[in-house]
This record gives sequence, C-alpha cells and structure tokens, in this order.
Amino acid sequence: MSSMKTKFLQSKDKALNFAVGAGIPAGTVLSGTAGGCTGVCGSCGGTCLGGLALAVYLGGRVIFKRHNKTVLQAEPSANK
Amino acid sequence: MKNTLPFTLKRTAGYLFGFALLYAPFELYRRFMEGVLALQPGFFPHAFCPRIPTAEIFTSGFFDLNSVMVWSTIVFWLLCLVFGPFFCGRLCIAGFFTETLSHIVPDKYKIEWEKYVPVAHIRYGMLLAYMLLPLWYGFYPCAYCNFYFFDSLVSVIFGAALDFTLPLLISGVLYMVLFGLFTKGGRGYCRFLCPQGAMQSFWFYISARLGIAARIKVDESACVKCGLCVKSCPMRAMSIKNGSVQSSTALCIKCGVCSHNCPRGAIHTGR
Ligand code: SF4
Ligand code: SF4
Ligand code: SF4
Repeated sequence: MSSMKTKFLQSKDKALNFAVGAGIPAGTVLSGTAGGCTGVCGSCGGTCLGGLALAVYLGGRVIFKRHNKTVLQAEPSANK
Repeated sequence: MKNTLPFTLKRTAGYLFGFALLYAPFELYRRFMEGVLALQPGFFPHAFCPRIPTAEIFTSGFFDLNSVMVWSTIVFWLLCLVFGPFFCGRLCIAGFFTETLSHIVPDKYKIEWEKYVPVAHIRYGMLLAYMLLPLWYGFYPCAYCNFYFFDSLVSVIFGAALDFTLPLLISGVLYMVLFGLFTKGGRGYCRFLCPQGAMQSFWFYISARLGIAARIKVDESACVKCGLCVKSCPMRAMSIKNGSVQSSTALCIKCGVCSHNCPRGAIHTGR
C-alpha cells in the first residue's frame, strides 16, 4: 500500500513538474507580451518572466526539500 | 591516472568547429550557403536556427519560413533520428561553454537538480508548450535564448557594441550563473530551457526505442558500480537504479564523457 502511495505521489510530482515546464512558455501569455515579442531585443520586456519564474520555483523546491529533509539521496548515487 | 587531455582536446575541437560553423565573424555555414550554393539562409544573426522552425511546427508558419531554413531543419532532425543529439553532444558551443564554466566552482557549491525535481519532465513540458504556444498566442522562440546571448557575447568580444537590455541580462544570469556555474555538469540551461536540445533528445528518444539510433549501454558484467560515469555526466543522464547503471535517452547527448571516464571500459554505444 505504501509503495502504491509512493508511486502515486511520484507520478503526481512528475505531472506537476511537466505542467511547470509547460508553464515557462505558456506563462508569457499572462504577461500579455508573447505576440511578436522576441524577448531578448528589449522591445517588450516580458517573455523573460517564464525563465525567472522557473528559477524561483526551483529555488523554492531546493529550500523546501532541504527544510523538510526530503532530498533524494539515492539517485544519481555518485553525485554526493 | 587516465590521460584526459587527448579526449578533452578532441571534444573542444568539435565544439570550436561548431562555433566557426554558426557564429560571427566566421559563420562558415552561411558563407557556404551564400558563396558556394548561392542560397540565402536568412534569419541573421542565426544563419541556422532550428528554434524558429520548432516553434512553428504546428503552424502554417513552418512552410512560410525561408526554404533553406526549413530544409536545413528537416535534414537536421533526420540526422538526429539516425545519430541522436549529435549537435548538443559534438557541436553546440553554447552548451559546452557553460559546461566548461562550471568547472570553476567547486562541486560542493553546485546544485544537483535531480535531487529536487524530475528534470526531464520539466524539459519536455516546456518543449510541448513551446511548440503549442504559436497556435494560439504567437511567436516565442527567441525569449531568453542562450544562442542569442552567446552570439551577443561573442559580438562584443569581436568589437561590436551591445545594448544590454534587462531580458538579455536575465538570460545571461540564468544561462551562465544559475544553470552554468552553480549547476552540477554545467548544463542546467540545456536540461531545463533549451527547446532546441529537447527537440533533438525527443527524436533520439523515439529512434532509440525503434532501434534506429545507437544509445549508451553499460556492460553489467564489467561494471563495478564505481559511479564515475554518473559523476562525470554533464547532462546528469547517468544514474544507478536498482543496482544497475543506466543512461536516460531523454537527457543523454552522446558526448562520450561517461565512457571516457569509465575505468573498466564498460560503456559502449549500441542498439
Ligand atoms: S541543449 Fe541547447 S544549448 Fe545545450 S547543447 Fe543542446 S542545443 Fe546547445
Ligand atoms: S564508470 Fe564504468 S565501472 Fe564505474 S559505474 Fe560507470 S559503467 Fe560502471
Ligand atoms: S550518459 Fe554519457 S554520453 Fe550521455 S550525456 Fe552523459 S556522459 Fe554524455
């Protein structure tokens, strides 16, 4: 039962992270700047938000997992 | 102690060739197209940019692109189906640059993202939305593009004036600092944010399953589970799962670093 629960939680986490990945480009829509914007030329100043949001999300995961001591240790095993 | 110099030099030479092929002031690809084949590749400064065709794949925009660009991209994808992500693994200086940069920072200060998030899921979620977005909301491919950032950096080195806009600055910080210097393997941008790399890996993932492209394989009988391959993989594609060493085709770029570092010669490519 507990292994089923773990599997469910892992799948849920993967789906959530897939959605986070999709949110990187899709999030630019919220900034209302995707149409015609090149993001790097400075003409709109909005499409970089997706990348920034990812950085914030990843930072949050690192802090949360370290705080709750739920950091994956086993894999990749040699990366300590 | 293994002599890594010849391998490193060979790798570096490949990436420098890729640099000369695509980036100003050399741009051998563009010169070849224009000078020898008398074709106009278009979309400067990137004479060859598969990010744009990737973003337009589901739209009519794909076939509105410059025909050299379309054909270059189709040939490029076919090559990825046959050989895997050869551009990432052998030619792309943008990825190799941050990989090299990451050696400056000691490992203890670098983040192993796999411990916190399933990297491949973020990578392919990003790719999917990147490809679907133009269907509804328009064009997105150059947003925080590391190629553009690297191209700008090179232009500055070769004397061009550059207006460092805020988005360009953010691209640079993400690309070089967070996902380069402070990421294990130095290829955080490649793994999270590069649609160009994700697309190549997508083709590789499919073709490896179909038995077309050769993938990284480990000879279990020779492997002593020392973990050196896992530790040295710049894409963090290698892992030890249930006591056996595996390479993930969703992330592997076939750079050969793992097999070079294996003390037992247990790693090879095969179908
Ligand atoms: S993932 Fe992108 S930046 Fe990284 S090596 Fe591949 S093409 Fe280059
Ligand atoms: S480096 Fe070679 S021997 Fe060591 S774990 Fe990897 S495949 Fe096995
Ligand atoms: S598994 Fe080996 S070939 Fe693949 S990316 Fe890692 S080091 Fe390179």
